[in-house]
Amino acid sequence: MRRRAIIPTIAGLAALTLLAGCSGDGGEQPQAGDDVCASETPVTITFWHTYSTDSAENTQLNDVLLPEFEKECPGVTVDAVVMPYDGLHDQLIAAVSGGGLPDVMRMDIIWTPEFADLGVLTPLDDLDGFSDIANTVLPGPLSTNEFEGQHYGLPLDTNTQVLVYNSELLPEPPTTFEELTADAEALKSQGVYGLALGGAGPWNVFPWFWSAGGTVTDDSYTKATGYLDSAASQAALQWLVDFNDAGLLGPSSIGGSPDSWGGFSGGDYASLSDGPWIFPSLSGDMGDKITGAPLPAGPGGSISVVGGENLVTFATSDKQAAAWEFSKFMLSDFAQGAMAEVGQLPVTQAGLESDAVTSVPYLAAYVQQLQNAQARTPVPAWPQIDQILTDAFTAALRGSKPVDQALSDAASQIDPLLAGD
Amino acid sequence: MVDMLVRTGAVVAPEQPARRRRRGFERATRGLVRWRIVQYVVLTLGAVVMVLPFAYMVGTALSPERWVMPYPPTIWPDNATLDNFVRAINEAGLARYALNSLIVAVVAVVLTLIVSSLSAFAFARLEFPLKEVIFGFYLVTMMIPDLIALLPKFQVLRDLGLTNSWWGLWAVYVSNAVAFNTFLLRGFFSRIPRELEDATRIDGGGTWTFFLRVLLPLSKPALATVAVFAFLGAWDDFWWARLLIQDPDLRTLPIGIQLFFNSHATQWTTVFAATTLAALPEIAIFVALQRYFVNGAFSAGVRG
Amino acid sequence: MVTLTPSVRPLPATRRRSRRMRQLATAAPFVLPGLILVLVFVVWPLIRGIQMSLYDWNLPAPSRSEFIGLDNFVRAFTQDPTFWVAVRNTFLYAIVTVPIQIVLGLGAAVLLNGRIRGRTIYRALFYLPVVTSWLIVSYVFAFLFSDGDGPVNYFFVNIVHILPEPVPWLHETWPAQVPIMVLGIWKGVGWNMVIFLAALQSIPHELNEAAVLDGANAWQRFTRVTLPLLKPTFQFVSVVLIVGAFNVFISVYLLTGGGPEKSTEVLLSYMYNQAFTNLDFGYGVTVGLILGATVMVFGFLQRRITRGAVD
Repeated sequence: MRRRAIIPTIAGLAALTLLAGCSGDGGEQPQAGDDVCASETPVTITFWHTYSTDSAENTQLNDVLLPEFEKECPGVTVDAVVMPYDGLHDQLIAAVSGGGLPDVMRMDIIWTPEFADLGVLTPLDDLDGFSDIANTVLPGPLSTNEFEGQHYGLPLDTNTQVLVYNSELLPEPPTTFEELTADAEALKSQGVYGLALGGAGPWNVFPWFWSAGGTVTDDSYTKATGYLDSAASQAALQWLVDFNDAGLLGPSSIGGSPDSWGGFSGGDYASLSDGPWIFPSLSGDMGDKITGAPLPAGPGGSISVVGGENLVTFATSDKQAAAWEFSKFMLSDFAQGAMAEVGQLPVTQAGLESDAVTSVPYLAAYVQQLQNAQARTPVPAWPQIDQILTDAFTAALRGSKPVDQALSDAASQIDPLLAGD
Repeated sequence: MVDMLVRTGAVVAPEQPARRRRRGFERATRGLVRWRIVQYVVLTLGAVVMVLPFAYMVGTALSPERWVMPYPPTIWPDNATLDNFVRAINEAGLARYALNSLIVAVVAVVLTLIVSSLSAFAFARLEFPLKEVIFGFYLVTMMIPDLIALLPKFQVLRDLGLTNSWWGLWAVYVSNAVAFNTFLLRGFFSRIPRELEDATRIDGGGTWTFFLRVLLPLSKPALATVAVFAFLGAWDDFWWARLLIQDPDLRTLPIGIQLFFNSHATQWTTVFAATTLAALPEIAIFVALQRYFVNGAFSAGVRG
Repeated sequence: MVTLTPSVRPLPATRRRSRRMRQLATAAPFVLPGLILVLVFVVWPLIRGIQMSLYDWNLPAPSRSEFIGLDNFVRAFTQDPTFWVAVRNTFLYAIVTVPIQIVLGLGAAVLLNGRIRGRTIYRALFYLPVVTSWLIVSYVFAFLFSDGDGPVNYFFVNIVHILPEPVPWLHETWPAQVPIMVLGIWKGVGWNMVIFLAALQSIPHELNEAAVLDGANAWQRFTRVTLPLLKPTFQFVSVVLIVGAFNVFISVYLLTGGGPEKSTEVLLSYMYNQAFTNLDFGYGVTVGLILGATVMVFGFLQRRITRGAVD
């Protein structure tokens, strides 16, 4: 049943490649990689990703990217596996301890530090061709792969959230918080919520919290007290709480129904903050009504959150060379462009300026917003911090805790996590 | 507890004959009619409450919407469609996961039957040192919920190299069932008359002949109990499948269903198409074996 | 548990030993497969669990785990308020769901006992939730109890007008207990019904007839004749249900995930989250062991108390 047979020659080859990579200066050593691709016995690598089974991304991957890769690199075949996003973190932890990790994985950028800290990711800095790639990708996404001075992955795609609005309900997108509030108040009389979030976790709340002037930690991610509970942060969260209390924020923001996509496509919510994937999924139902614009600016500016995925190789894999060939391919202009066609934003400047991106109208707002987008706290303890912040934001939005208390409680819980253990 | 279980299940009295009292006939009839009405109304209400969640599940699965929840909630949507079922089967590979679940469950049933009937036979009909001690020990382990040891058991399975394989699942399923089934079948096996064993011996048969040729064929109802218990246990299992199985080729249905919850939004209509399909075998088994299910001893085993 | 010991003459020691060897040889192939499985996959994990609970367990690399003695237990009992929240919720779940299941199950059994049209169908419908997997019914209840416009809110707000406004069933501490407990009760009533029905049918009807002749009315017959005879069934059912209630896990995990702010955690979900979200396996194991010990102690107490009554 298991297809992960160890092919001794390939394992040896992988070791050689690694050695070559370590001793070399990171310059051009194409022959090692070519050997894998020219290998007589085909090597199969397992690639985990979370493009949903029925998504355009998954179709593009299987119908366009993988055939092209296998043409360029016939010695390697890729077994691409859809993983359930729900509970994926737990499954990965189980796999880390129980075996069964894939060779390569497309992993949420916020998990890379945690798994690097667990020691299960391959550091890439010394691999041949890494420095070329590092020089062409955007520094922001690249930095999410860094842990203790090494890079444990390559950025694969980036994304952020913009204001996704229903042009039938909102002919002109609001550009400031004041306009947003005014629009939402006008819509309220029609029984429509001006804005809805997909939940109360950091991913959903940060764009508004930051734009409203909030901060989470100091710049070197060592302390939350004094930042998360500062007067500016309190005022920022208070703004969102007030917006909610005024009945302007859709119930999906605190887990109510309809959920954000359902409410938006059903006309209950006039706008969302969401990523580019919403466009291919909902344009079938909504046609031209679904439109994007940069987030309205608040006291802190118009600041969104950086999302995206990294491509990591697991240290447990015995097919490091093949994994690296595949990783390099996924960063190629061809692969980046092909995924851009289905809404995955490229991580290279060239890619962002390519036709694949510029010809997709809804991506313009995202490219623009990326100039003003921040990453979530890149530390190994992020999953716990995420939970603490979700609890704090939820409590404040539900009114079960005053804003100042919710934030100071969260800050005091986060401090020890940032200090490490 | 042992004897009680057997008693509740096995000794089922014939239904009470509807004897009518002669005295105060009219009063009694009036009371009876009122009682009957209450009886039917309460039972029907109860039955509606039991079925309604399933009706919503199926109704949502038939809904033509994909992202929107039908509102107001309906049990039978206008323009009902099977699209969600098609999507669940075609696009998520649900058929493959269902097949995997079936294989896993059937093998679990076979292994459980073999191990449990052997064990129960020993405790019912054989004498050996430490018999009572081991049986008492089985009774103690029955009290311990399986999942409290989720983490150390996972560690042990990993120590033994049984992760990411169906063998790990079978090891868990079968070992969890040994104590209870030994206990359940032992009661049944004990009641097979001694004379049959003696007769086998007179015919020159040994212990194994008696076990295989005489005792097992006579124990079909009890073995069916064990089999259904084992099947549903394996078919339902969520935690072990989730922790042990990473290889997508080995995924079982509960993991497949999770694929419909993506990071952005849940497609409830497709999820419920998938859960409806997953519930079908459970309901089919139940309908086919209904008369066994409503027997107490049987149910004692199949409590979810 | 009376075993019939055949009357045999005392044998000399050597013959006794050879008989025991024969017995062993015969019994081994029957006993060993099960016994080995139980020892390896049930007992060994418990021992391993006790070991793990004494460490700051490193699951990816167990050999690098740090021995910390009883710190995990000290932490649970004295330093971790969330642990006590989980204890509270677990006990609350047992205290609420067990009696209600018994009463409803017995009630349904009484209604179904005797001649009644459609009895098979009623019995089947009541039993349907029992055979359906927890995963499926948990998802269904998550949907039924969704905030805002969910079916339950729709029914109570828009149709019967009992609730003034929609309740966030899954997102607030006390409201969230409702779907979790209702699910447990809904799924369990059918099982109780079947067990009680079997017990009711095993009551000799001569007893009831004798009571009728003594002039007892229906209620008196139920309380004076039927209920006392059901005592062993009550004991059996309550043990099974309480152990089951301590096992509550998947419904909590899928309905609330233990939130908001861990306020609906039960012991098993807390154990799981400690291990897989916080990577604190030693502590998760400890929580599981404490729950296991509680169940055992409870089981022994129950047995001690009821021993006299059963026989």
